[in-house]
Amino acid sequence: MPEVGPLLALLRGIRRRLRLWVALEGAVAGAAVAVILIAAAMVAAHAAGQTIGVRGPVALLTAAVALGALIRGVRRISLASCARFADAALDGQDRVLSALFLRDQETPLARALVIDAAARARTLAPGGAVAPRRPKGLPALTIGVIVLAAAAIVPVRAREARALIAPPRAPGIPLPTSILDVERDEARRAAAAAVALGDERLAQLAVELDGTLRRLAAGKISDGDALEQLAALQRRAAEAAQEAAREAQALAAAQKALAAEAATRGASEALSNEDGDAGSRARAALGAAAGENPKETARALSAAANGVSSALGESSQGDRDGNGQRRLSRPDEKGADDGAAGPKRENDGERKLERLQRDLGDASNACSAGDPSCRSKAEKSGDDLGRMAGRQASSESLRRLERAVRQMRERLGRGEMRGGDQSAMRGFERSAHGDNGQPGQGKGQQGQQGQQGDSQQGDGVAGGEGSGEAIADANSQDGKSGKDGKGGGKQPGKGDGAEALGEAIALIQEREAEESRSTGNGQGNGAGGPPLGQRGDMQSRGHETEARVTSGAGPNRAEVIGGAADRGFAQRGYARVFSDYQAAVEDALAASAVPEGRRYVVRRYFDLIRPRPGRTGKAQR
Amino acid sequence: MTAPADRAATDDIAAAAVAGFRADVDRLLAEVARRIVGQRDVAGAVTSALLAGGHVLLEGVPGLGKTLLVRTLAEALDLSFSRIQFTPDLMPADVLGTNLIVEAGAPGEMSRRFEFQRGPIFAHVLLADEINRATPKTQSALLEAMQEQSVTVGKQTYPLPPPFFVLATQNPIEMEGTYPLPEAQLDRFTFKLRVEPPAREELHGILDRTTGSEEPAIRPVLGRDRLLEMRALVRQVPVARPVQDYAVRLIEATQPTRSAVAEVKRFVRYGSSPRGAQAVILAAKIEALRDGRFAPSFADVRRVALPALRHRVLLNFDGEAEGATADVVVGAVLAGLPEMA
Repeated sequence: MPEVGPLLALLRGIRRRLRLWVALEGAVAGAAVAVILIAAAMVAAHAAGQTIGVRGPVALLTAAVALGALIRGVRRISLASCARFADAALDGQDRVLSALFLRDQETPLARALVIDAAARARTLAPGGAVAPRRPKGLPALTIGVIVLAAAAIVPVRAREARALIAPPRAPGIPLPTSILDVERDEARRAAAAAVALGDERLAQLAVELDGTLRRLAAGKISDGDALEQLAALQRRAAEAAQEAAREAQALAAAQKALAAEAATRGASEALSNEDGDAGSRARAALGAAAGENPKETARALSAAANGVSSALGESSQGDRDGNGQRRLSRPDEKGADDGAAGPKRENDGERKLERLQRDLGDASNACSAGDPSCRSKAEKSGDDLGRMAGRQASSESLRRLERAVRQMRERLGRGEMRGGDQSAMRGFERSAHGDNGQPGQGKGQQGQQGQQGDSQQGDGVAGGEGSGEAIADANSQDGKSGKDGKGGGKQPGKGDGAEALGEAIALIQEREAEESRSTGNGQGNGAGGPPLGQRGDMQSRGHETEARVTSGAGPNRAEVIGGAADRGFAQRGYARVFSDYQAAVEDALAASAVPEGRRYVVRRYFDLIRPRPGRTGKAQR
Repeated sequence: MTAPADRAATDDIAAAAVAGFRADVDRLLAEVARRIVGQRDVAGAVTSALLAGGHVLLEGVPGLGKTLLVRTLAEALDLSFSRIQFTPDLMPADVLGTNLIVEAGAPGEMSRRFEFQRGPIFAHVLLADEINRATPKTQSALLEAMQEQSVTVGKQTYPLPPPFFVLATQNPIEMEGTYPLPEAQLDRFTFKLRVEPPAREELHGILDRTTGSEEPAIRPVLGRDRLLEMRALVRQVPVARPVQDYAVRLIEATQPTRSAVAEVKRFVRYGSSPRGAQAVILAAKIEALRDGRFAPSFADVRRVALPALRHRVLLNFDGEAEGATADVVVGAVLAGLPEMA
């Protein structure tokens, strides 16, 4: 049909125009997506303290525009869709669409239809059928551009990023003395424990911690250097604690072996005492046992040597595994690690245990062979075991020191010590004292520390400590420590590590002297909080709770009618009345008074209101 | 192969036929409007159903001019007209007719034989007034006549004279003693139309025309043959496949098992039958011809969907309890169905 030609030409023109517009829409949508992605990337980069260049975003934008245009532009556009546009531009009576689908029919009306549509289509241009329109993705693109502009103008930096890049502070900036009080107390406590137990390792660590704290407070080292030193200290404390645990294991095995023989049972009991005199008692007990019953003593010492040997084997295996895992989990501390120090320490510990095992074996052999040196060797073994018994008590102090050093590293790393979050510091103080949230437990601490006074009590939960008592304790401490402070470091050492122990004693005395100077000047004068158990005067306010509701029009009529028969709603009386009426209903339905067309509705109604069985399936009667 | 000159002549004839159709319908409705005030949509829809070869169920309260409309239409078309007032005691024979014993022959040689006495159904236009007052048995007597255009009494089938057009009325208010039409019979009506009360100005016009001394006389503007020609032309109107597909999807969308429309799923017990699609397409074709077009559009389908489908959509109990109507459901279907699949 010749009239079809112009009609199809019009539709193809419309299709080209449509393709152009949908490609434009695709480009806009792609640009919107790209802009939003770029904005998100920019925000993320700013949060990480970085910047993104121009080339990447431009490439992304170009690619997204091209891809969007391509995806939308190559989609199939049917001539029927184009005909709909043409009809909409004409009179909306689908003449062009009908002509398109009926153009092959040879009926008179179909031909007339095509002629009519072609005649009308001649008055229409493709541009008139597809008017310019605003791309659908334009609002999204606008929003994306605004977000991008905001992201470019306002750099956002996350807290983590600030923590990472903020610390480079100039070395030599002193810290307020009080900010390190908690750590210095820990150092002093460790020093006191070291002196009491005679543990030179603990003393060494305590003195080094105190030295680091002093240098940090005086601004002699930077935060970074302090962090490195603290890391090394922490690692050494952890290793020392581990070594102490290993020794404790070996000692327990030896004790068990000695307790198995009647002659050496006294030595085993002597090793159980934690009064610091275990060494001399064990020495005496073993010497006596060797003199009186060398055979039994030989067996006991041999068994003890075997116990130490087995403990040594287990701990060596455990150390190897633990060291491997520790190195894997702390790659960042590689620089702070002093390399061979770790294995060397472990080897020292192992050598000590090996030496002990060897000495026990020698003593056992000597006693078994009736050698005259049996007694002296047994006494030496008792000495060694006694020293080990004294050191095992230092394990807890070492762990405590390691924990304190770790927490200080964390505080320093977060910048809390240099004007950081004070509440976080107070929280740390509480956790360091072990009185987090438990009123009354920190009372002794208050008294000893004095200068923390009211503020510390204010942080407690309904703390009821009396400040007067705290002052009295502090003052009495003042008198003693002032007197003893001058004698620090002059006590004679004994054996290896005596110098460290002497420094530890000096540290204790110096710290006590500081406390005595800082207390007594009005600290702790404030009134204490309400006693534990009394009601405080804190104003309480109720809080609003948002109740979730489901919006809707409520039950419809059918549901109301149906719900009337539900179990729980329908009572026994209802069921009885219904059964009375049921027969009448059936009679009425059977009668011709109810229209046929309405019987279904009436029957359905009575079906719905029939009392239904509950969830248990038991009918309600 | 048709020569171009012949083809052009044929095209002209087709265009002239469509124009003539439009003009005749306009003349018919104008003639009806001389007596019937208002009710233009109802008159137009009744005319469409007549041209489609279907039947119409009119629903409205008494006194709205339903009977007058049908009588006027019959007069304007110069067709025979019958009216049956349906009552509960009306029997099928009263509608269809019956065989009577007739005596014939000379005296002494009289012979008796059965002779079929035609009932009032043998007319071109039949007004079944208040059809829901008759029993289902009598109502079903109309079934064969409406569908097959014939009447069977005994073993004899009598064709009804074309065109045969049934226009039934029912009162929606009085339900006492009524027998609602069975679904099978409802489906045979092309349209179900609601006759609304006249507006104030229309009521003035009714009073002016009916309370005066002269009642306007109706002249026949179309004959029976012309009406049959117009019916034939309707059947020749082509329908584009997308438009027909829209009608098909419309029918599917009224069926609760196949519909995506929430109202249909919730309120409808049974949707439209294929007769509904036939009614929609035929009526859409007539709408196109009345507008001087050669093929129906989507808008034509939408326009005729409500009268063609409202009596074919049966509500369930929830729909009845919620007070939903078939009009609401069909409206929801039309609103939710895209024209192009």
